[in-house]
Amino acid sequence: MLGVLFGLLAATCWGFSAILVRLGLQHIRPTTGTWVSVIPGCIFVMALAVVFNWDDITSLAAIAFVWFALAGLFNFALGRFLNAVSIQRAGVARATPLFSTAPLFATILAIIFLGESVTPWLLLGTVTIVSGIALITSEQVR
Amino acid sequence: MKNIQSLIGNRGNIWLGYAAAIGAAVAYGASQTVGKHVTSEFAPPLVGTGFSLVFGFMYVSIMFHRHIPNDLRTSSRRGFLWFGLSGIASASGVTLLYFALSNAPLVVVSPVVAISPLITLTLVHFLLHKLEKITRRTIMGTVMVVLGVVIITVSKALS
Repeated sequence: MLGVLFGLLAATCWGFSAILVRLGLQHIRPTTGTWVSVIPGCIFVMALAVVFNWDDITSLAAIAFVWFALAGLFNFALGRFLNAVSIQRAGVARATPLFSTAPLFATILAIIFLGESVTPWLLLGTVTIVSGIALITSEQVR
Repeated sequence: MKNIQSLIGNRGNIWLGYAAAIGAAVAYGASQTVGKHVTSEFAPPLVGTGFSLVFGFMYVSIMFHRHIPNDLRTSSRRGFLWFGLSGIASASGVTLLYFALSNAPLVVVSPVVAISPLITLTLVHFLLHKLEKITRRTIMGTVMVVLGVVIITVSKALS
């Protein structure tokens, strides 16, 4: 029950985050906005990591930082910036469902690079997602 | 930027937004794949996310170094406030997700977290109704996307 409650709160936080980006874009560009949005997260999460996982931090292997750098590039430099651009151009209501399809792409990448298998459930999920995207984007084509 | 916008028009502008959203989804998907490797091989999720944020901050500072100093001088402080709060909300979401995963299995947490776009739509309806209009088609499309994401994440968690 507690897990569900925390999950709901996490989803609500991300919902508010998108709304706040939409409000912020009325005043500053997505480039600077992305930079500003990374700062509090950086301080907040690093502080928690230092408090709860100090032993893990001191024993990190050097190669781990290459992977952290890669994750930082995909998640914050590309993902968060494109997220802000999409909200600016398409609006938060239409952009949010589109960039929430990340698990689909994570699965496709895992199939390509990690050798995971294609399942009927994946195909069903993909068809449902693509239909949903078609429904959202078709509104503008009419 | 204004010249590009007048060249492509409003419809082209929206399609660029859709392309950016799909690009963001691909980037987030790649980061999830990398994150999975990081947490299984090198560090706990909180440490991985913390250092990824530090690297992300460095990349963004380098990439947008021409815009940032100028905007710091000239742009409205309200914009910085909204984006700062957005960063706090996003980081809180990540932290709460870890708490959720430490209290319940992935198969329970992932569908709950996947409803985030529906929460966003609800918030848009109540908070941004003057800025954005939500149509029935957007709601139906969002429900289908959420359903598809739930099918994929739950089937992966169960396998």
